[in-house]
Amino acid sequence: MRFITTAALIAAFSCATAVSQLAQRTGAVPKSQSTEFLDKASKKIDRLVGADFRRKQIRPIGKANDAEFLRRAYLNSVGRIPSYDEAVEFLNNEDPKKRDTLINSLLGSYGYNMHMFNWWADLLRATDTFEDTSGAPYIKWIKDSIAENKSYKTMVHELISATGGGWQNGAVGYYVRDKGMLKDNMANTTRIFLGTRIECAQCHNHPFDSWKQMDFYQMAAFTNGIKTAKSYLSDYLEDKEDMDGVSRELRDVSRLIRYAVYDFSIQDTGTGTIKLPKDYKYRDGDPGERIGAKSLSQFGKTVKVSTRSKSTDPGKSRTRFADWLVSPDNPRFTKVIANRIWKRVMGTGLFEPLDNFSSASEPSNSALMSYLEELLIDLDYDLLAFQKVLYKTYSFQLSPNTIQHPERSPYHFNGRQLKRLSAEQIWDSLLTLKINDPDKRLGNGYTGDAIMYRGRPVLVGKKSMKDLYKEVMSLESGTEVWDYTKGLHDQIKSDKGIKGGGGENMGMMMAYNAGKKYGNDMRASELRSPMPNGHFLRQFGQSNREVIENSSTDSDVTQILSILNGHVERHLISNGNSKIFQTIKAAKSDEQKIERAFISILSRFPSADEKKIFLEEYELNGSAATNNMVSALISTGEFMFVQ
Amino acid sequence: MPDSTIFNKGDEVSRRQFMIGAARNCLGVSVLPMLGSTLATNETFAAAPPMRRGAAKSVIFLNMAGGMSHLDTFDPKPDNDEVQGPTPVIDTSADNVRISGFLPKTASVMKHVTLLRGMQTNQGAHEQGQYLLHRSYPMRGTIVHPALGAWVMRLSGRRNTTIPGFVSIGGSAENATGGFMGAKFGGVPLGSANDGLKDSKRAHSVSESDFNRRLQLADKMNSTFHGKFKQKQIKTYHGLYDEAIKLMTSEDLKAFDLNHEDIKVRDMYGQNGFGQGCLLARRLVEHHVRFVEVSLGGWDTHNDNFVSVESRCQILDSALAGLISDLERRGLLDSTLVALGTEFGRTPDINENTGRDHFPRAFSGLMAGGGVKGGFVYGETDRKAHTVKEGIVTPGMFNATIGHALGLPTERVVTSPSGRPFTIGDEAKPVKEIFA
Repeated sequence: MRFITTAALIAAFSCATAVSQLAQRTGAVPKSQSTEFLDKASKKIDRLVGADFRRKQIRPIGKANDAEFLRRAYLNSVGRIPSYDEAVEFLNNEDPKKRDTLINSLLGSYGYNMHMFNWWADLLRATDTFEDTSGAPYIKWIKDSIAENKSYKTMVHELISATGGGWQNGAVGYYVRDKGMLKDNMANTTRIFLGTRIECAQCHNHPFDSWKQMDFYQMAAFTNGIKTAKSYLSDYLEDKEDMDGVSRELRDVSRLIRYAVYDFSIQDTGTGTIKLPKDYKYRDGDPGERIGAKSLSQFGKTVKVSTRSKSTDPGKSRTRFADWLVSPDNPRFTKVIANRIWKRVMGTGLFEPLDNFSSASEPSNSALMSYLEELLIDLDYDLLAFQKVLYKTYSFQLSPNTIQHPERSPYHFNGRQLKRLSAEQIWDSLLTLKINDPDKRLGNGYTGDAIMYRGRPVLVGKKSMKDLYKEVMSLESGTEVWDYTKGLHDQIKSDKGIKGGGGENMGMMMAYNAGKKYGNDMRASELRSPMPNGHFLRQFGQSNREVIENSSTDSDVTQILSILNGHVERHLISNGNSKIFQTIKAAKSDEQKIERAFISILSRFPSADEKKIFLEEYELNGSAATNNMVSALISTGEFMFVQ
Repeated sequence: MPDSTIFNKGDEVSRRQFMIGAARNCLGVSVLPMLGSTLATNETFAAAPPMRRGAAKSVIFLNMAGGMSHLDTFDPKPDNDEVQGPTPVIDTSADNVRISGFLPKTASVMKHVTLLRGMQTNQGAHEQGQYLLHRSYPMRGTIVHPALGAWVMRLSGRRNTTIPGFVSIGGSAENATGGFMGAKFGGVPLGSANDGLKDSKRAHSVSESDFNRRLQLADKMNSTFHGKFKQKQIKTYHGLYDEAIKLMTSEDLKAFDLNHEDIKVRDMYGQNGFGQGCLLARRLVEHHVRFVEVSLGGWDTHNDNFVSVESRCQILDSALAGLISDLERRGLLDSTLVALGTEFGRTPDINENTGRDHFPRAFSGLMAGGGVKGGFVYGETDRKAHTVKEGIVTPGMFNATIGHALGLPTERVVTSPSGRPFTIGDEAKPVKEIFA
């Protein structure tokens, strides 16, 4: 048996080597901005994958064709199929560098930001509401961080050390959303960022890992005692006997102040100590004993908080915890995110599950794992640059593997595994068939820091949530806050509309109006997070965002009914105005109609046999043929899976 | 059957063509795409373990959402004016069992019912309480526990493989979650009983022949695709179209259609969402659906408790009594367990708004049919309905008891994908004393 050498594998990869001369001369350009550095990194990855093939005597699969690459690149990076025009442009382009060019245009686009939001929202469990409190500042913070390509390390540090008012710093949402369940929050932090499950150790020593209940409590101490701001208003209103005379409007304004200001802020940042449970049964501590925080051993240089440090600097223990978490000394931090992004781009992780890496775990390709960690540090945790490197590898461009690989056994990346689209990818792809420019409709999270009262922005250009927060927090008694509430109510009532239409206000009003104008005809990331139960997105497995990465790609029969008789039929097939029918209508012949339908839905040209099948359909059914064809193509496995 | 024979083209195509014709002629509806793959889709449900003899076959779970006042329904304290308030108390068809006068019809079927007067929970907020009631485990940020119906599906499988085995009518769709067990064990949520099963009928915009054409065209495309990717996940996905068509053409689909019911029967259950939901539940059970939940909200009576509870009870009374007597008349009561639960009770003390607040320490539930004793009371509270004196039943025990009634192995450990062990009742034991 002959095996293709690594060199041949690399040679097969047509790479763009636009060398950044400037970077070479001056050395001033960070590596994440150096095309040369990124290209070299892509090739290095291919060499490591190729070496693995040789070691395991795997015969490399061929390179994906243009159509396979196109659909995969779009769905993976921007979360939807390409539109007809986008697909035609790429398929007809004869430039040998067109794959690189496409990756450059997709990564960092609006569509990319939207798709990244779905990923972050699943990871961080970002919901529109946390009980009574609006999650809007948290959603906005995530979206802003993605749009400015904030480094992963910075993002995580900001989340973990977050303190203050939500409208000043949306990252506090990370704790506000878990108010009253900070132990679970810590278990989640460890799981998301360190790939380690310690939640079992909350009640007892871990049965099959080395974690002890003491480890859990020492970690939980870092965030113990975090509290939202003291609300003068609630105390005042509880004392106030008679609310009967108070109008509904005024009550709504008071709710705004209670929930959006007081409840969405972290004021007491914790002491870094905690009491052991009353039924603590191990020798290393006494029931009810107060202990100081201590970071998990095995993960870099240990950070400790003394039980007596209480008086010094309250917020400090959590900042030190955040420093420790993202420190280069903590190897697990880098390993977990490198593997997570690798899986996101390549379809399968180097180790799985992503968040349960134990002492016994071994990545399927250790050399590659180490290099990815090194690379991510070199790129200063720039996830966009890191993904660019991965998308430009030859490994990303391999043909789909026709054999289903058993889940959770080591995979050596010889061809991509087929995967059902996520709920968001299905929704966004159907939207691409329905409207023009789906990536341009901005909704949820873009209404900025306007005061939202009864579902609409008020006092625009006059007072923002940031102002409101500052003003309310400067008040020191229930009576003062109640007077302020009444004053705000008067202001809102006498508000005559927008003052100063430019800048952020303009963008905010546009986003608000878009929501009204487009209804749910927006990408999943711009709708409510998550959508209510029973909605198409939830039916197809959108996460409820109460638990980390809780989305599902399981298919069931109700989804099929929705495709055959429900949502797809109502919104797309029987809707003559939808984009796909406009595209098909412009065709000059039946053959061209078929071609347009295939390119729109499956991002490829039809084969001769397929043309024949559908030409017969046109002969047989005439006017109904187009609808039948579109419906049939969406009902295929080929549409529902990415290759 | 190995894949290669399924896709042995010449034979398969002609056989399929034949079946298309046959399906059209016989069923008058539509084609069955990918016939060869039908087996694969049902394998999850194929191996139902043997049941205990004489066990119930189906469950109708009535969820009183909002926290049903125990004093004003099933655990009145007529001798204690301080806590009883104006709610009247009446005798029932069971000796020595008295219940609220707001439930006169229910009183007449009490001879079939076991009352659980020692219910107790440790959750005092609605969402957390409903979660514990449905899943036996407290809410955590680290895992989604499956709902009771999903447990039943996991441990016993479907009785009727053409329609869903777990249906939840009204209420939150969270009640139908498969949790960590996955969507295949989850239930189908129905917004309202009158809607029927969503999208189970051909859209008005599509003619029958066009519908069939679409399936045929997709089927041709799918054959090529599966020819390239001979994978279980693809086969399963294509197979779901079979299942969808099987469902659309199923004789049992009429179970979801209340128009088949006589107006007198519909009136007996009550012409409201809950009443019609209970009627639908009976129809589904007749068609061998394993687990049906019906929700009735509005029990959160912080204000005007006595007015609100009375109006809730009017709805509950007709539906519950209607359901039990209808099941009995049709000979289905022995094989169907009716269980009524709520997330918590309400304070014996009446607040300044003539209301009652949340009260997790003591409340009531009931079970009827499915081998449960009739006219029996399990558990007792003190004279204020404030503390359970004996016969405590936690949500976990309640769920384990339902499992036991179905003959399920309540001690069976199911492991989550993350390796954590769970049981149907969070290790709680079933209350065996209530079975005849």
